[in-house]
Amino acid sequence: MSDLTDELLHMAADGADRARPLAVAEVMRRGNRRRARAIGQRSLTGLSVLGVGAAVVATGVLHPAHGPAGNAAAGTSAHGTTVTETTQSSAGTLTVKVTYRDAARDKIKPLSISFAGKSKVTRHASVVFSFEPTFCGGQPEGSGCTSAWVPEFVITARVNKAGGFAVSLSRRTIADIIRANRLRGDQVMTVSLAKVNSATVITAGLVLNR
Amino acid sequence: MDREEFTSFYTATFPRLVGHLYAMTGDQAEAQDAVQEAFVRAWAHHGKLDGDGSPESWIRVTAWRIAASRWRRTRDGSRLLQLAAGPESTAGPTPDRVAFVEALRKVPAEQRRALVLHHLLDLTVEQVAAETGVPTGTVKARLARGRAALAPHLREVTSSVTS
Repeated sequence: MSDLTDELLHMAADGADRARPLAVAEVMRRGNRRRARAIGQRSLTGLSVLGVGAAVVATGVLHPAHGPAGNAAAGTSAHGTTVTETTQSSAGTLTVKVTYRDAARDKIKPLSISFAGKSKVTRHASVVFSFEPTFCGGQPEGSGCTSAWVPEFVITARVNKAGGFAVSLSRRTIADIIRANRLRGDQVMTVSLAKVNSATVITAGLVLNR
Repeated sequence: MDREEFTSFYTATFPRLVGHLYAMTGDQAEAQDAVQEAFVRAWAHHGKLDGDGSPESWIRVTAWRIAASRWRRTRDGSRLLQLAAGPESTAGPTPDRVAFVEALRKVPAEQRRALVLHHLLDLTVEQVAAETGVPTGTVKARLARGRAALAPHLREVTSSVTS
């Protein structure tokens, strides 16, 4: 039935000619949003708040190889390296704790990631945690340093009436993060505590040295 | 699949996949939307896409499922699944092609899908079975029924061309 094949070929060619793809950047943006939404729904441990009008950003960086800086602390045990970073702003306090170990091919493998802190605003807002690993270890792009794809992970948590919150990411979420980011050593993992559809509230950056 | 690989893949395969879905669904807009959404999902789950043997096949299967899901939602519906469908305003450029598209749209969706995979994409019966998730016997039956349903229309097309 060659005429059937011919007709199908013509039809497919017509369809291909009239295809009008979205810009690839828009496709990626929608994909990132879809992924973030899915992960956020999955890993929630409850939350309610942190309504913050103005964006106040405080950033701290931990570099365990060079010793603790500010409120940061680091330690190595048989289970791996643990880095802890505490950041304060007018919006509240955020403490991030990451335990990881070296993996093959210059990669690192997070074993546990947890957050805790206290929000000063507790009404009409949600809180998201977004992971935005910054590649190149803070160096500018170029000069042999290129950024890999950096998806955003949004984890929601519930803030109690006193403003406190504590989240420990599930293994599945950590696996998603690892798979999506291909985490390598000597990178900065940025963790932001933010209000949904609003500006960043608190950001903590951790250098995960290999 | 990183950003650059995805961009290349998207640019190279999007029109072709829309063409395939158009042949499967008989609806250009539906094909375009389904393929577009499939690429969004592909980017959202690019790790899964890497693990797959054929990313293009993954997109095609996903787009088909998206389209089928929409049909189910819009049924009574079964806008494309059902036998009767109105002519598409932006169908092919010639009367012959319009006639063929209409004839194809009268074929049940799963039969049409099998016909496209087998005759257009040149997949074997076993490959069609793997992609559609049914036994090979079912694929053969769908191909036979699809061809039988389409044969009179093809003859009509042929005769209208020759006359």
